[in-house]
Parts: sequence; C-alpha cells; structure tokens
Amino acid sequence: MSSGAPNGAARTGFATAVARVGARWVRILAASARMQILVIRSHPAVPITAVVQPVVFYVVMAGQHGGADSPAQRASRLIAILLTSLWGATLWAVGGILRREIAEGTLARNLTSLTDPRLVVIGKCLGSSLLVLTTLVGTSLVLALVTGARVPLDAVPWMLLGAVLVALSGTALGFALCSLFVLTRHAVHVTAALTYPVFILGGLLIPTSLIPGQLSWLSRLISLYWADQFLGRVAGGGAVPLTALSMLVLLITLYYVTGHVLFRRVVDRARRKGTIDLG
Amino acid sequence: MGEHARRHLEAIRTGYLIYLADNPLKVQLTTTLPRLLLQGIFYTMLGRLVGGQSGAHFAFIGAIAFAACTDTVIGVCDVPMTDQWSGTYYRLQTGALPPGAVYLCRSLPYLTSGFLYSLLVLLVDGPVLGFAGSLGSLTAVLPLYLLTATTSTMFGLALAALAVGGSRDVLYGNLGSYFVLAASAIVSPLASKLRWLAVLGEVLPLGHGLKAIRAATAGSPWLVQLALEVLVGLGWLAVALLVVQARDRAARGRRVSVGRLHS
Repeated sequence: MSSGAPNGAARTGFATAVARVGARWVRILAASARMQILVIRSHPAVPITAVVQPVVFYVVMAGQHGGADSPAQRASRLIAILLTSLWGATLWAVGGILRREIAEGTLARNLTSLTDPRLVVIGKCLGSSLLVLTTLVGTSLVLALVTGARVPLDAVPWMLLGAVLVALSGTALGFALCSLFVLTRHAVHVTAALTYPVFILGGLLIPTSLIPGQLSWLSRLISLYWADQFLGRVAGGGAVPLTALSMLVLLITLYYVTGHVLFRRVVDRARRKGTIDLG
Repeated sequence: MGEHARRHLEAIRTGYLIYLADNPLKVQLTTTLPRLLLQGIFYTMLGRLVGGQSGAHFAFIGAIAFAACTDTVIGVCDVPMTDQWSGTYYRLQTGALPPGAVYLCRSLPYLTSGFLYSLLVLLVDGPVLGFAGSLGSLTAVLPLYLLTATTSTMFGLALAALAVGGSRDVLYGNLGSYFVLAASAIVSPLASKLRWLAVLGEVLPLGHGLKAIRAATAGSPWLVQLALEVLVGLGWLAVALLVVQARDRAARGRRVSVGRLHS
C-alpha cells in the first residue's frame, strides 16, 4: 500500500512530461507547417498542379463513356484525377523543401538547433501537403458540382479519413523525396522525370488492367493506388475496403522510415563533405 | 558572309551554349528523354481509355507533337528570362541586333530539341505502343511536326515575352502548355459539352497542325489546316515581337532594365 502513492506520482509525472513533449512537438510541427504554407502559397507549382492540371485531365477524359456515365463513376474518376494531380503536386511542392532550405541557407541552422531537424522538415512537408490537398479538394468539389458527380452522405466520414491519410501519405512521400532531391544539382529535371512513372503505374487514371502483367505489381507499392482503391470504393457506396486501408497505413509508415534513413544519410554525407549550405 | 548574317549566327551559337549550360546532355539523356517517352505512353494510354484503339492512335499522333512543347512552350521561356536573371538586358539594348531578333535566334535550340523529342517519341514509343505499322505514314508527315514545333515555339516566345519583368515564366509556360493540351485536341477530340474550348484551340498552336497531320495520314485534304497553322504561328510571332518591342521601349523610357519594369 505504501509504495502505491509514489508509483502513481511517478506515473503522473511521466504522463505530464510526455504530454509536455507532445505539445512541444505539435507546436513545432504547426509552426513549420504554417511557415511552409506562407512560403509556397504564391509558388506557381500550386495553382498549376492543384488547379490547372486536374481541370485539364478532366477535359481530356470528358469523352470517356461518351459522357453517359453514372454520378458514382464520375466521382470515381474525379478521385483518380485528384490523386494523380496530388502526385505531381507532392513532387513539386513537397519534394523541394530541403533544396530550398539549402538555397536559403537555413539548413545549417536547422541542423544545429535544439529542435530535432526532422520535426521541422516533416512539419514543412505537412504544410505543403495540406495546402496542395486543400486546393485539390476545392478544385475537385467545383468539378463535382459542374459534372454532377455525387458521393453517398454516409461515405463522407470515410472520405474524410481517406483525405487525412492521403495528406499523411503526401507528407511521408515528400519527406523521403526531399532528401533524394538534394543529391543532384538538376533536381528540377529529376522531379519532372519522376512524374510519369507514377501516372502510368499508379493504377489511378490508367487502370492496372492496361499495364503489362510484369509491371502491374509495382502499383501495389504506391500509396496513392491504395488511396484510390479505398476512396473509390467508399465513394461508390461499397463496403469499407480494409485491405486498402491497411496497405495505405503500412506504406505511409514505410515511406516515413525510408525518409528517416535517407535524411540521416544525406545529412551525414553533407557534414562529411562540408556541403551543408552548398547542396 | 555579310556582317548582319554573322551577327545572327553568333546569336544562334550563344543560344546553343546557353541551352547546353541549362540542359546538359547527360541530364537530358537520363531525365528529360525518359520522361518524354513516358509522357507519350501516358497520353496514348489515356487516349486508349477514352476512345479504344482508334482513340489510342489519335492520342499517339497528338502525343508526338505535344512532346515538343516541353522545350518549345515551357523551356523557351528561359530565353528572355536569362537576361533578366543575369542582369544583362542592357547589353542587348546596346547591341547591333534588336532584342526580338536575338530572342528568335536563341529560340532555335529549343525548336530543334522540341522537334527531336517528337521524333524520339515517334520512333521509340511507336513500336512499344503497337504502332510500328504507322511509322511509315507518320515519318512522311515529319515536316508537319516540324511546323507544329515551330508554331509552338512562337507561342512559347510570346508567353515568355509577357512573363519578362516578373517571375511568372514558370506559370505562363506551364499554363500555355496545359491550354494546348486541353484545347488543341491532343489526346482526344473535345467532348460535345466542351466544344466552346475549340474556339480557344483555333488560335493555339498544334490544333490545326494536328488536324493537317491526321488528315494527311488518312489521305484527306490537309493544305487548308496547314495554312491555318502557319497563320497561328505568324500571329504568335507578331505578338512576341510586339511585346518585346513595347517592353524595350517602356524600359528605355523609364531608364530601367526590362527586369525592373514592375518594381
């Protein structure tokens, strides 16, 4: 009995400390995300990839089924367009974060600050992802109104869950990619080169049935494929696809771990070579 | 060779050197070319999705021409912007050639590379996508693809001229490229509810040129569409030169560099 009180106090103290650290992390993530949104909101990549590109894809695909498709089919196509454009937006708006840190000379300060630099970079990735996803959702809503695409009301909570996971997926993907893009001086070309493999193999606008059998398994490694499977099914009023949901969460985790390893290696390499501010 | 021709040749040579500095061959081979080949495959597959096998053929013909736009519409924006970024516009103002002529000469590498991209998509993507049988008929219309590369370069140059003075080159170049993709029936014919976009397509490059190419490969008359594509190209060339001249005059009037017109 006498040892119960100190244990309880220790547990409370530990919980308080965890809560304090958690709150601090959330503050840093939020501040980094806000700063990133302020930085990229006027960047042309945002309107191009999140407004113009999905509208043009819609125009190009408008003749499919002779225009005589159901509202659910239209919703499904809009989701595929949204996710396709999200890939481009992730590449341009999120992938360049670390490169911009180097260009502006803030990477060295970030690496030597009291805060874990990964927290700042992930916060920035989250800010970019939220900005482009919100813009894309706005574009999709307008397109849905114009085209008459509809989703059942009871699917809305699942769609919101899907949107949160898609934002996390973009954040984790961006975290992994931004470390890769600092390894080359020609990151713009590399960014552009990475666009179409996912456009083709992602199973979004191009169904996996059109992809040669030897390559179709690659779709399963792309989180956006599972996001499309999940969102497309719930938007069509079907049962919640738990496999797609699990795979989406699993791939987000995998991307984050990859980003973590890549970030550490890139920073180690830059420290060894003395190129932290030079790229 | 006359002094005038020598100056133009020198401007073209400088243009190639700047182009190669911005787009080294190694980077082009490892990133740009794979991207263009995949872009051609993507749009052709979209065409197949929209219109079956005939839709794929329609899209493949468009994707060949659209491959050029990476350099002829987006890339060419670098031509006038280079002087803004480098602060060298005043050298053009004191040069023997007018800025518009220098820009035209410096655009030639973008036109050439754009046409080569089209050729590459035709020769590599064609067999991959099952259009090996169409290679003969499409090779025969390569001069028409050269024309669409030229008219799109004029369009890109006009956009670039409008972008000078700010940092809107990326926005204008990409917007122009997407407008061409949407309105010039690159991947699929415009859906009936979107026919209003065809009005825009009438004044954008590639639209009439692609009609001419599709008609020529089908054995139909195509000269009228060819003439219209030429007119569109000349129109955009006039816009480009007029904007460059107006900006130059405004800069001289205010005694500032063109890059500072908006500051």
